[in-house]
Amino acid sequence: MTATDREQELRTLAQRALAHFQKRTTDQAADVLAEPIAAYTDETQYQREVERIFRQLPIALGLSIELPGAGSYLAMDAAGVPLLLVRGSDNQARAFLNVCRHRGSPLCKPGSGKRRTFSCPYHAWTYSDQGALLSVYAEDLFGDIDKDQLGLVELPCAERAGLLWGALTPGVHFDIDDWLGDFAPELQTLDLGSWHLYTQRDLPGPGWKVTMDGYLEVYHHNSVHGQTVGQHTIGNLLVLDQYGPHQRMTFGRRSIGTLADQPESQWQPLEHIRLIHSGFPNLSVSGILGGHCLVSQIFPGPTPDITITRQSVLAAEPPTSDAAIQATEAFSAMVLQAVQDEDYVIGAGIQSVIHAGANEEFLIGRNEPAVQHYHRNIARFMAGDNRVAR
Amino acid sequence: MIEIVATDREQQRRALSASDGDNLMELLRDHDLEVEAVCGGCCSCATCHVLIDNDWFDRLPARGALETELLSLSDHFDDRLSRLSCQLTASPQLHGLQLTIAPED
Repeated sequence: MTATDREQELRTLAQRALAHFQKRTTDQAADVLAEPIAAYTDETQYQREVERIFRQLPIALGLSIELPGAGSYLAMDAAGVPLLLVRGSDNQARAFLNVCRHRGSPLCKPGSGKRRTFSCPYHAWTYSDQGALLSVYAEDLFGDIDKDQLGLVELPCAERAGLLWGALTPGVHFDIDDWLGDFAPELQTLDLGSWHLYTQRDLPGPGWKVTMDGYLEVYHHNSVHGQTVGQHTIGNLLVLDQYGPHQRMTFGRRSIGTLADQPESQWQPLEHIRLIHSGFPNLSVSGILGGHCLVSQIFPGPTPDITITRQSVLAAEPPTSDAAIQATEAFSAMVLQAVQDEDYVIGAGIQSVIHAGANEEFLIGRNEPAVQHYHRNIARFMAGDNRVAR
Repeated sequence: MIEIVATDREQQRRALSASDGDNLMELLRDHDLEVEAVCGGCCSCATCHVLIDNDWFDRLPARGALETELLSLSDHFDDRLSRLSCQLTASPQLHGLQLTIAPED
């Protein structure tokens, strides 16, 4: 996409948001969707869905800038799978199961760093940064083994648009270009590979769908986020575009109405709209004016009532001046408060009464079309539909 | 006493006293020099990489094939200087040996 095309597209998004603002409308789904409560609570359904949606389909494992150079690695639990991401000395990012092939010890503790070899803490079997088994301590006494067959178990992995994508099951079908489709060039406009990683944190949160629903609608912004992000966006005004299972949400900023008084040729659309890119099933990228960006990866926990959100705060440039550090710190604190102290407090409340029997269904409104789309895609993939569907 | 002169990553030179038979990786580690030695001295992990002063390299026992293979993965591998310190043992012949802790990869 050329810069001119992008400018035109952003103007069109601003027009759509302005039209909703003037008419007090929003993009809508055809009907209210009633989702049976079991979709949020049933343990068996949950385990089946996590297996299919999070372990067999491509998901966002991390950011390219989390592996800044050869030998940089990231070890973490991802949807119950021990994941080791490594950028090899050939500069290629790979994903492995973080497990020694000898007798199954985890290779690296959770965390990140840089190393050229990976030695098991149990008996010091050592692997290269490309996963090959390099050395077996006292190999002559250990006995005959074929080291070529004992490299780390590799998972499908690819880098696109500044993100590390992968699938958490060895050998599972993985075609990242087909999976992302037109969403890849859309994500590419964010240029995530060139940002500075300011800070990261893992936030415990409510159950998977309770959590994700909140990332996919702006209906709650006035009531929940009055002290934080709600001050910058208009509650319940959504412009939605879909790319297969993935979605781009456009929110109106409080200033959107002023565009009506300016000739379109003078519009600076991004001062009046805010884009959220939602990669199915676990990614949310929220670009904010002022050179800051929040990337959230939501990982399902062992049970239907727990998630871990990996929150990454990015800055366009490494902040060096006091003013820049202060601005980045303020952004980081605001998004932490909005998510941890606002969204996830509401979510924890929902989890605490979800078994009370008050609701046989949760209702997802016509004004929450992105939530509906997310749930429909879960149902579609669970029904065995393997098409990415555009 | 055998004296080993080690230069750390801040370019500070330190004279360390060793006894005959001491493992050099353990000597460096015990003096808080920056050898990670993840594998504990098995010639397995290549995180106890040192660069031997030129005059001394050829006076050491020969480097093994596995040691060379592991060292060659380092960005700072020098075929004429690099050793894994876990594969070296202090002896009276090495009195005055000079080495430098290899930079972090």
